[in-house]
Amino acid sequence: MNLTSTARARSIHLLASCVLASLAGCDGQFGDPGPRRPGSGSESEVAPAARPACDEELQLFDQELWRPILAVRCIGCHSEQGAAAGTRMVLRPGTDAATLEANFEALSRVALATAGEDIPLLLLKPTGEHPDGHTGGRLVGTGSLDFERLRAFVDVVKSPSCDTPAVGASCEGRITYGAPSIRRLTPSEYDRSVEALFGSPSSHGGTFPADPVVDGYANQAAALTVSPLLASQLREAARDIVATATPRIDDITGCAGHQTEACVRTFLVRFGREAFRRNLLDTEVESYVGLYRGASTGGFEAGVGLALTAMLQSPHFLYRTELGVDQGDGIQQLTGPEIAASMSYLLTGGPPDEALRTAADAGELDTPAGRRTAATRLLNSAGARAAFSRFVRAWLNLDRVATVPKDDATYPLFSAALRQSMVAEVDAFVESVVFDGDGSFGALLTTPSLHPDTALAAFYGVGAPAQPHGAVADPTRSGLLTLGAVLSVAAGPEAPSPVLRGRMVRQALLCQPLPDPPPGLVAEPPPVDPNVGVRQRWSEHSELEPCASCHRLMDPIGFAFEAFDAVGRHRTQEPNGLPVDIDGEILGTRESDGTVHGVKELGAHLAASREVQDCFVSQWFRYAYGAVETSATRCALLDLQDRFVQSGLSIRALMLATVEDPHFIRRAAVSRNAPLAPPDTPEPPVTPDPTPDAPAPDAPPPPATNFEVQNNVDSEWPTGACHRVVVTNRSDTKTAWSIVIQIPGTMNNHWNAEATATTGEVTFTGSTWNRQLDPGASADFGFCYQR
Amino acid sequence: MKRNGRRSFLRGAAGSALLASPLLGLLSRGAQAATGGPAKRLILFFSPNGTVHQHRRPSGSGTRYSFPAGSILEPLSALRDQLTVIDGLDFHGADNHEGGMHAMLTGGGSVSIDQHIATTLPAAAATRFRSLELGVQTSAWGGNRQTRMSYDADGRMVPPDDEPASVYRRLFGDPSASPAAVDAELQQDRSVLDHLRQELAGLRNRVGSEEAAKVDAHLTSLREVERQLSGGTAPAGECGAPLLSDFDAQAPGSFPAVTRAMVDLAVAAASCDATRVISIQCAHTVAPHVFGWLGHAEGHHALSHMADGNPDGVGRFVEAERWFAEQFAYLVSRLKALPEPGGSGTMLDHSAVVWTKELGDSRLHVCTDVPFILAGGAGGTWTPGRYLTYAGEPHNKLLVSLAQAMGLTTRTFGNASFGTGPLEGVAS
Repeated sequence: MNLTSTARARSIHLLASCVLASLAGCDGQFGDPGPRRPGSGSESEVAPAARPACDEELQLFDQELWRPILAVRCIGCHSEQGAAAGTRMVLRPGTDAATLEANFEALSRVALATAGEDIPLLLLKPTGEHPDGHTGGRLVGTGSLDFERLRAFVDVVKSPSCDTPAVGASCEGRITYGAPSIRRLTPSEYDRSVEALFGSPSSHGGTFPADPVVDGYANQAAALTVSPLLASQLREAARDIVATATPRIDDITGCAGHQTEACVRTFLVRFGREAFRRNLLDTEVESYVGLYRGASTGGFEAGVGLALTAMLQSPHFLYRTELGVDQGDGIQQLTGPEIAASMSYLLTGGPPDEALRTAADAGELDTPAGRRTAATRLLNSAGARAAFSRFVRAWLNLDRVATVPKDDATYPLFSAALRQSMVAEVDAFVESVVFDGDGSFGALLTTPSLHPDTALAAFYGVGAPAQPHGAVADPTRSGLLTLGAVLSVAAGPEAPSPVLRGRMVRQALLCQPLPDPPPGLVAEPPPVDPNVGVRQRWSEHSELEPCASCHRLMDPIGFAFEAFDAVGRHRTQEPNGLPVDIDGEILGTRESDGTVHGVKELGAHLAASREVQDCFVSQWFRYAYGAVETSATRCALLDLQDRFVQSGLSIRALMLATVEDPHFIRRAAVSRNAPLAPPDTPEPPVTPDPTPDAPAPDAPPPPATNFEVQNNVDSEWPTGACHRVVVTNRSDTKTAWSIVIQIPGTMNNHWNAEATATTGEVTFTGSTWNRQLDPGASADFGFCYQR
Repeated sequence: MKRNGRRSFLRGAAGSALLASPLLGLLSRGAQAATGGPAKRLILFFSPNGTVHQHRRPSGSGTRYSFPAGSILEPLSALRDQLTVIDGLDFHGADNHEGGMHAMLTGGGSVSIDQHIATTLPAAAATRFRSLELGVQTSAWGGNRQTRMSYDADGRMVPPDDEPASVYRRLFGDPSASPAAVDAELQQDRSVLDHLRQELAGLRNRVGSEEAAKVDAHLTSLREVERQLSGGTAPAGECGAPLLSDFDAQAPGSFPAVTRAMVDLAVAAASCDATRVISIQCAHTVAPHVFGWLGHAEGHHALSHMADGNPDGVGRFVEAERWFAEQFAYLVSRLKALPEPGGSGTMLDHSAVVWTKELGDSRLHVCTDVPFILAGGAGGTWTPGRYLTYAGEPHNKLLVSLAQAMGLTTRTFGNASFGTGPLEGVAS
């Protein structure tokens, strides 16, 4: 396909009108809209020929690309019948050798074809970075594990021989750790922290602006920043909290009768240790005492109030750090207080209590056994129940039940109070299964009960519980899948939606994000016809191309939920009087395909699938670490998935295993951001030796040097690139290295080295552990920049 | 959902018509009087889920155009002479809901046009708020590329404030405080801010460069807070706080009331010259909101997909879009009714107002022929009362035109390979 054509620049309009004129609903021909606009990125017209795959590469392809990515996210559209049949990547189902080879070749084509600034289509399209976009949307995040898998594949097919290493390899003997981070408190963590400090309920977090949702979770560290609006609201909240606490200031400070600076200092040391989750440095104590002193001309309350107002806006309160201390081997181990905070916020949703802080100070949390003991205690606290339920609500988007639109005329009883009852039911159900019941993953998906209050029980039409949100047996139900909140969120305003319910299962339980409907199709849902049942109504969707290639992944799963209406009530008939048809089918999965009769069979089928079990651990892992898995943390995730299965799918065991894992307390060392003194050796700077792959950095004439520098482009996209640099000492003496690289943009990240600037001529020197190089030894560092 | 004591605050506030807040003095300042200069302010108004062109297009062309009876834009008929109606622009390199929502104000770059203007325009730096982002039920799905339209220079989402009470408090402060108390508070705030900056600098030295970017963003935010608390240059003229009634801003039925409140707050902020850049975002792309006040049962997104073979369904979508036209008409009418503080003519004469959408034909999920409506004279830069049609020009050019209307010398915006320079015909 020629993407530079201007003659057909507006062909999408023509295509669109054809669809409009000749076809009703979801029908018609559809291909990659391809040629349509002037000025968009040019694309190499003829890709270099791919060489045949070697055996090891085929095996790697199967494990690292076919199963986790292509078979579940791409083939839906990129098949001979699919919406992307007209593109250069057309895949075939199956894993026999011949099919794998054919698919390897298909993927090689898009790995070798390039667009924009010579970037492989394989990296541009699924990430949505292609100048013309990707019809199937953004399916892979740059920097994610899957992105690295695709990048490794490009290396494989570009390599003339079979010896290219790739991401995939075995985890044996490979221990790598994630990046250090600072994690801003989520609104809920903020409230729990304020409550722990002041001993009274806080709901300020609910007024903060909604945080970015990344890969399904609003607690992802990279996205949690303090925007101007949040900074303003944090100030308001701090002032409100302090104003409310002021009448109790003597109780809080313990300074009744001796409102002296000395007493305030003692108070700030104690209170600060709780607020910052660590002991304050002396300079910090003095700085807060200074704030007190400055404002205490207005009285004792004013002075303490100002110090507390500042403390509640302090970065040491608002961010919990997972930075650690350099162990000298490129590994940073979290400090005791950092471990305590990470464990406590994960398992209880709030800050460490005094017992945990004491254990941390005693070094008990440095060992897996110590963390296990502490975590076991934390899981018995009241906070643990709410904390795990908060994860479940995030996982299945259940907080949306408060606002999900419903038609008042169709569902007049679906009131704001009822919505709240449904949220409370989720909490009660999760508590009863995970903390008071058998605690297994299977029970979560299959327990035949509801946990309504009286009003919700009446709404469902089941018997009232013995006490509010107690268990009510209901043989039609299947655990989480059939709670009112789940069924209402994954439904339309006036009718249930097999599409939304299938999509929910696909994304939350099978970890397979699906694209939005492609542009250029009339996507009107089929109209309601009183003479036609739900399955027949949606049949075009799930049987006719181009819709079927994606909708067959969703709708047949959704049909299994048909015995429940759009607000979670059981039904045997559709509104038109036709009996419900609850036969469903799971298609296009790694190992979960099968037919099911109703949601009870669906729940049992899903719970028994290793694919679903692994997905659940992935979801938990992302939530627990506040980050999606990367190549550095992939082995930690795989290990956790194994341990979950070995534990008999015990959710409590999963939580314990998470904090026991060394990955929980270790991070890879990265360079500090401190302003740097000039390099501490008089070595003349050396310049990089740009490889043919690295056109960007312009090298001044190289001075005499004892260092060999390989500067390779690791990944590149239209607006930036990452480089990996290897510096080798070619002299015969041990020397500290220092080199200069021209950065043609603004550097936004670098690791394993110190840098003097972020743009222009940047001098890189080694970090503490890799600065001195023995003769023949190499240091490996990297950086990324934006143009 | 709790409201943090703001309900009672609002009840108090609603009792008095014009509030003599000590901060009010900080809100207004002198205005340039002349026409022909740049626009004094930019106001963006967003409504979601594309359009159905045959029910939206004006009839006629150029200065001789009108809105057909029953069409989406008919509620704007009385304001015809104040509008520049634009059809035929494409978002190049973008398609679908999410792509369109992101490209709408960024043109394929990282920063959105409102934030670009807010951070580069010297006049915007002299007001209390570099920009003001107002949202109407935008956040039930959290922040993502479907629910956010403003992005800062680093590509971070700039979240809107969805709570009228919070906007009110940030704009007008505590109406009961005395000027002396406000001064004393400001002094205390400054000492806290200095303290926080020192702590952040210390933290910055302990983290890698990726985390340092978060610290830097925090530092920038503190500067904004300080500016908001400190006020700007000397006040001139009078401006007033609007009345707000007490309601749950996130309840589905509150959508019309929140929209009205946000328009009122935007007009108040503009008349007080608290900011030069305002956006009002109604819901978000794929918005499932049910317009129950129009008797609808389906969500707005579902209605936007009704095919032409279903005239009843399309009719309900047209009703919903006419409702948005009425809200935009209310915003424009308010600005038209108010004299420009310290200047000549009306506020509308000195404003660049834009009704923007993220998709063209909603049924097709495409970003071709995405409709825009400009309102106001932009300080004499624009000559409204015209209907302009284009054949697939990149909307980047319109974004350049907005920057230029505000007095910037911007020549390209977003992905420059899509097109450079302003949109021909917009500036007179």
